[in-house]
Amino acid sequence: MRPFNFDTIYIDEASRDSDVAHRIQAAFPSDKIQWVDSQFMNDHKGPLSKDQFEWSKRNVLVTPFKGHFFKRCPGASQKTALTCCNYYVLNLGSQCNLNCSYCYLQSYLNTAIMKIYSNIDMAKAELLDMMKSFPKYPYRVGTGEIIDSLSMDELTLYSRQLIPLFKEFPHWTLEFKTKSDRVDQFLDLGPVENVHVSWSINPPVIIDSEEHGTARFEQRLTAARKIVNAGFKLAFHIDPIIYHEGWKENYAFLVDEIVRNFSPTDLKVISLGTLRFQPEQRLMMRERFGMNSLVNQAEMFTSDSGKMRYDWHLRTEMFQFVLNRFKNNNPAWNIFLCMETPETWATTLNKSPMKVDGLENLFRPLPKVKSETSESATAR
Amino acid sequence: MNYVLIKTSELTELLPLRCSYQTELDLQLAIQSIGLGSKGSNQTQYLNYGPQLQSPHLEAVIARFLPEIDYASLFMILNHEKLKTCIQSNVLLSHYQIPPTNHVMKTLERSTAWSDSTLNWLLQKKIKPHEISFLNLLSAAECNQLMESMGSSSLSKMDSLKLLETASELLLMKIDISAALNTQPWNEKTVVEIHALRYPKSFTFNPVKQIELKWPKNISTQTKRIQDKMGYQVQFFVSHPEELTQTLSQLEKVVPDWASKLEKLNS
Repeated sequence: MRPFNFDTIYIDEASRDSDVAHRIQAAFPSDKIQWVDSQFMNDHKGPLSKDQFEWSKRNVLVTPFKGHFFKRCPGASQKTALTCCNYYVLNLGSQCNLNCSYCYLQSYLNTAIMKIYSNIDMAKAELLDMMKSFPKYPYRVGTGEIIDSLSMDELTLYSRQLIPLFKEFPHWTLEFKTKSDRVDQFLDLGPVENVHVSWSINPPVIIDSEEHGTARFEQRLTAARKIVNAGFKLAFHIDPIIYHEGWKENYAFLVDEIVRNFSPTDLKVISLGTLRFQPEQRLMMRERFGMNSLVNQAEMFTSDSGKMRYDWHLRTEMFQFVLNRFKNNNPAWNIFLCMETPETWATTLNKSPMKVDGLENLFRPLPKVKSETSESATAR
Repeated sequence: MNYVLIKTSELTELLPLRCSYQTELDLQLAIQSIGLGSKGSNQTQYLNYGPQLQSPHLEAVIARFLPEIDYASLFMILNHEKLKTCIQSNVLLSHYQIPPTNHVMKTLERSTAWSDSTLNWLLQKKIKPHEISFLNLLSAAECNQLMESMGSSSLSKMDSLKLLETASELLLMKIDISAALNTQPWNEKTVVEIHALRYPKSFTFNPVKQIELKWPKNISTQTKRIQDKMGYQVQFFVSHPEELTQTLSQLEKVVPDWASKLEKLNS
């Protein structure tokens, strides 16, 4: 196992007998570990300050999760403003040990420590319940919404517990979304067609300046090649596309490297998204990364969804540039837009996603999951 | 639970002198309005001997007593030697719809150096501390200079916040804005100048600004930004159905012209 840079690992007494607690005790010296009760760090309320947020990235708490693990992607709650795919998330922790300047967790999280949830059995039981109820529906489940799917997986080995489960339900899809290159721990479980490993990827210049602590461009491509060779499906998320001087050359390089290394049959999908963030996040980004950061340089506008975005014309130009670069290489590349408005879809792809070959299933309505039905019952 | 023993007369003295609601009667009404000391001997006790209030009640009393409060006064209350032991800052701030963040506290602290006119301007414009917390990334001197200049401007709340934020970004980028800052009082022209300094290429990628279209004579158009979109606001007057048909037909002729110019621009 490659090293992790944690200041301290706190383990909730309630997680003492969990596999992940045992693995941590075996992997780290005892002076790095502190045992705490279930109330530890529970008193923080409201947004985090810069120092609190940075501390939360260096310290981790292993604790059981007490809510629903399985939920709809937050984009789906903005159906009136955005055209979003049917994506579900399985949160096995919160906060991320990587450090991207644009990360939405900076305005999303209000827990003051990174968490690894120790009760993976509960998460699996919740999933299995849904899988048995709807085995033929094409649910797509990702574990990388509020934590990187794989950056700590060598420690938790949760991938090894989830992959066999999904193998039994081939209509369901599991996606590990990452910016790390830690994949060796589960390669032997392949081939599994319905397990996708996806990389959020950007040109090297963006990775080097904005995606701190992540695997470098070449490392990500090397790990992606391992995934294809092991028989898993691959996806890339070119997201966020960031405007900067020379953006066309740099995104052309990125596309060319993907098409040089992979074929459309290797990749399930490529999603595109441009930089976006909640207005309240801009102060944290300025404070943490300074005005030289590219995310703090371009002019942003409030959009219908409430998020700050580039000018619509610029967004459309960027989408079309990347899309055309792929399609000119091979029309078979399967590309969609992430968290975008219906007009942008129409302008970029000339049709709604329901009518794009290969994408219909992503947008087809699915039965509600338990967390949705209980929330709507509460709302009533 | 913390308790505080404060006479109402003492409380009015502790509460900020900047505020206009400083009478015993107002405070008495505030206490009554949250259901405390509203009858007979209790009221006498509050007035003569001082109320024993649980701290959440004290925050509610202060918020009722001072429905509008300037930043500096709020800071004084939260840091008053006697009050700070019994007031929960997050509870008091929530009465004023202010999130209890470190940045808010820093903004309140800094406001103690601002003049009364600036504090009054903030009150008039109903600007909450978290709406200007971006100023905290500046030095105290830079922040104070911006706020004092702002206090004498007649800009709208939206323009004021936009100007302050853009100016603060320029200062963080070490770009000289002294020429714009020295022109007083600040007005719409200042907003445009500061914006142009911050985003010199603001419209270079915007086709609406770069394309000239020939509109029918009876149509008036104006380029306009609404949120993240720049477009045309098109206005026309029609008095009967045939006229509407004719106008729409004329407008349709703009479409191919616009599309071809757009394609040319993007190629």
